[in-house]
Amino acid sequence: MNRQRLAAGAWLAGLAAAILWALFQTTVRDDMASFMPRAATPEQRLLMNELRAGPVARLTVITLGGASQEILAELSKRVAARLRASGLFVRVANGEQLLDDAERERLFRYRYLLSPAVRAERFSVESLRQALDQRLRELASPVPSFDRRWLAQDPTAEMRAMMNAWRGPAQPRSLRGVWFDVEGQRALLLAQTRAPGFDLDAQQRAQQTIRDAVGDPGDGAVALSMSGPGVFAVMSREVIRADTRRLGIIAAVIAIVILLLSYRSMGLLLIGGLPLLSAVAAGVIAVDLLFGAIHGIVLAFGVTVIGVAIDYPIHLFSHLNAGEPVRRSLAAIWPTIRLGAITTAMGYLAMSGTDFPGLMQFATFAIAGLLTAAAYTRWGLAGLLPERYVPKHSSALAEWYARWPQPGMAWVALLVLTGAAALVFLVSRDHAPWQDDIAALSPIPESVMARDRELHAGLGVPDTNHVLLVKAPDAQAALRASEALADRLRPLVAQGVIASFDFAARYLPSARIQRQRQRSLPEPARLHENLRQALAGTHFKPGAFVPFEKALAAARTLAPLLPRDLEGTSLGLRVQSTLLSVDGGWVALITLSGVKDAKALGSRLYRHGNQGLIHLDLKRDTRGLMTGFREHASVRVLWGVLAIALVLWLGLGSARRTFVVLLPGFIAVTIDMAILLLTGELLSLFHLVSLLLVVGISIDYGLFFSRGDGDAGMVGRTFHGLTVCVLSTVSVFGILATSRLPVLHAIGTTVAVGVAASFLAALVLARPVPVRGSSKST
Amino acid sequence: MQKLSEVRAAGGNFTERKYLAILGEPLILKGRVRYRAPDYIRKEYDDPDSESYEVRGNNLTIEYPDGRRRDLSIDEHPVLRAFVESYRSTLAGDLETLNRHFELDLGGSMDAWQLRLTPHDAELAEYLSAVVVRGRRGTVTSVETLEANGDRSVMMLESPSE
Repeated sequence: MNRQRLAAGAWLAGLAAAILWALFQTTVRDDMASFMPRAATPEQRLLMNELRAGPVARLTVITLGGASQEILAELSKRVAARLRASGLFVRVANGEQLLDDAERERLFRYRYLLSPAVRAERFSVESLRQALDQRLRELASPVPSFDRRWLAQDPTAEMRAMMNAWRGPAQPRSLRGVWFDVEGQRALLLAQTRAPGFDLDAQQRAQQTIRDAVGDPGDGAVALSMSGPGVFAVMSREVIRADTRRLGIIAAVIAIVILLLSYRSMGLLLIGGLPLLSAVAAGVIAVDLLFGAIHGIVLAFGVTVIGVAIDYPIHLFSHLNAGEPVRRSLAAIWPTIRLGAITTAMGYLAMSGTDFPGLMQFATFAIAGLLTAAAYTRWGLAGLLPERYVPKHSSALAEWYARWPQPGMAWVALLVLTGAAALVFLVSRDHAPWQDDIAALSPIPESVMARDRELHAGLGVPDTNHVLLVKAPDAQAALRASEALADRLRPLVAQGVIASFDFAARYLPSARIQRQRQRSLPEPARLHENLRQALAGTHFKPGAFVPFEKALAAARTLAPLLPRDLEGTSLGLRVQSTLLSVDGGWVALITLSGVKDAKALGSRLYRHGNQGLIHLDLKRDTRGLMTGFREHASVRVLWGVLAIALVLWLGLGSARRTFVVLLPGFIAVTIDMAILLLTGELLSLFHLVSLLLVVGISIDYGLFFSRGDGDAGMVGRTFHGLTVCVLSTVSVFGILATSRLPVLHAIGTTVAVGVAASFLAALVLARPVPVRGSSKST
Repeated sequence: MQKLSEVRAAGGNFTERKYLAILGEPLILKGRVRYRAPDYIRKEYDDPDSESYEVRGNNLTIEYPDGRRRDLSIDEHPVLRAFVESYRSTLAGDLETLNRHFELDLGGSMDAWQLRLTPHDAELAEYLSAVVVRGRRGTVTSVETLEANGDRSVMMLESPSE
């Protein structure tokens, strides 16, 4: 007795310590990255990295609406200036001139090396004459097409050619000097954060900075909206936080209410609640120790383990007999509880060897939590209950069940037929019921995503789903490789396979190209002569273009402009975002937009064989990852179920009882899946995990219903206990099903439906099997 | 101004001379201009190229010699907007619009008035010093554009008609 008290005391002390640890030592993460498969190959790693940290993942589209064009244009300029000054953004584009005077002056000096139009013929008499005529026409036009200040130095308009090459092909409408949407109703800005897309705190800070920059322009009517991967990631996190908190609290309250109603004892509630607390604390600590952090979604799932962990003390309460010491009842019931807990844990063990951090955390949490709850019920609880304790049962239910005759064959037949019909339905479906789209894991509504895609297309922002990568030993080689690739992409643009593409060398060509252009520049004497001939008979003054001659002569000896020369400039930042140093080598990213035919793109790119070129089709590749992973996980689940059956058979020592215990679970899972698919749900990994939990719980029900307890009172109390179990589980997971998070919704729905079905199936099918010899059974 | 606001339509041939620092001799452009109250204006060039510019409200349509068309908003081009407003709003007698964009200075007599428009907007003033509109009674006879860099252009309306 004293030993039991001691054990209980030690357990309580341990629990208190564990809760303190869980509260103060644990890191809670809440981005979505844990819910993506872990990358195995270098390509997959690049893919995941691109998804989380790439330039496209750092873009935010800002729209300002709800006021007059005049006010919006002013606001757009003010917001852009504030954002640029904040230092949080690599690039803030709103249609305004982006270069400051110093940068413009330098680029102007380098125009003959950077302009894609520069080649030897550009400075022949004929071409110069054409250029001068063109300039004259532009001078005559009432619509000024260039800044006349530069004319004397740049009659061939290289600066303009350079800037045009930098500008995207899909230019938004420009009104009052800034970008507007097609209707001219909303001003558009494009901001690229310095921080990677997965750094949610930094993204949130950036978004707050945007909000502050817009501020309140006085009339309070300006409507700000933001869109983009970073915005969605932060939104997801908010949903995750809000949902886990809300659902956790509601689930706990419901479990408490059900327990109070069932046993009408505050003391019992407290004692029964301890295994839950122990389970959650053990789960949190186990995950934290193994993974270094716990995900918010896993935590929410963990809190719902309440719905299951509460079962163990309930089973004990049901089996306490008047006049019998608590520990003897406990010893009698323990093998059944133990078998149930071990089989459930077996199922999760099968999941824990997978490469999906989120799932591994789920499995770890469940195993640690369930085993702890069971162990606590065995070794901690007895010391806390009075020596001979019998809880008050609301006996009406118990008595009703005790008097209820064995269900007739009609019931059994009905259930088996329903199960068979569900099975036929599942097998006969011709299309796969799997959801392998990673986007389906995101809590962001599809309508919001669609609007985002529309905005991005209007701004010529790259397609998030397609990226080309070229690897090279150094930065210049990477630039050269991307230039070669660009030559092959241009025909694809012409043929409409893709709308456009963007890459670092578009802003800063490789040194080789710059030298090529330099070599094509004419010698000063030659240029002077060509220009003299070209000027003859035009309106221009004879000496008007001496500054041009000087500039071109100076350009012949310039050292090529290198990425490091551009550090700290707006152009440099754009180059850096797509020219990256990775693992000692360099990678040039080529972003594509408006990919119309991904297949044609893939086949055309690889036609000539390309070393170092990787085409990331994020949608296809992540789908591939998910599919491969899901198949892998399905096989593991099957092995898990086999292991469960084996353990049951060993534990029960009776093939027939093993069958009786497993059958309700099998029928329940079949019906569960059929109901999910009938309601239009596509199955994901998370449904799979939930089905494992359903199997585990149904085995518990099967074990207890089929125990064949001696007296009628005990049978009634078992039924009472199991009713409490199923009510609390179904309601807790039902609450989870209301979540906006697809992961929690999937788990909630599957478990709530499956457990309800399990209970009915076990009630009808798992009748006690006549046991030879001993009347005591497990 | 009172007289001008009664003008429903105006137009005629013009000769425009552009005096630019980079040019040895002025550019001479010829064509026709037409105005219809309240906000329609069309400028057609015959020489050297047959481009035309048509403004309705804030929308500008350019027709190039090869038949291509381009639509844009005059809001995108402050200098163009200044020119359009100075001519159009003067003809329309639209003091309110003129006042919004310019500092007004009216001088001379009914038979030879001169309206000097100096832009309010600092950004615009970097390019444009002033627009001087001259006229006789209800007709505009010339529009002179003075740019900040010393370049200027004068559009003479040769055969003003009602």
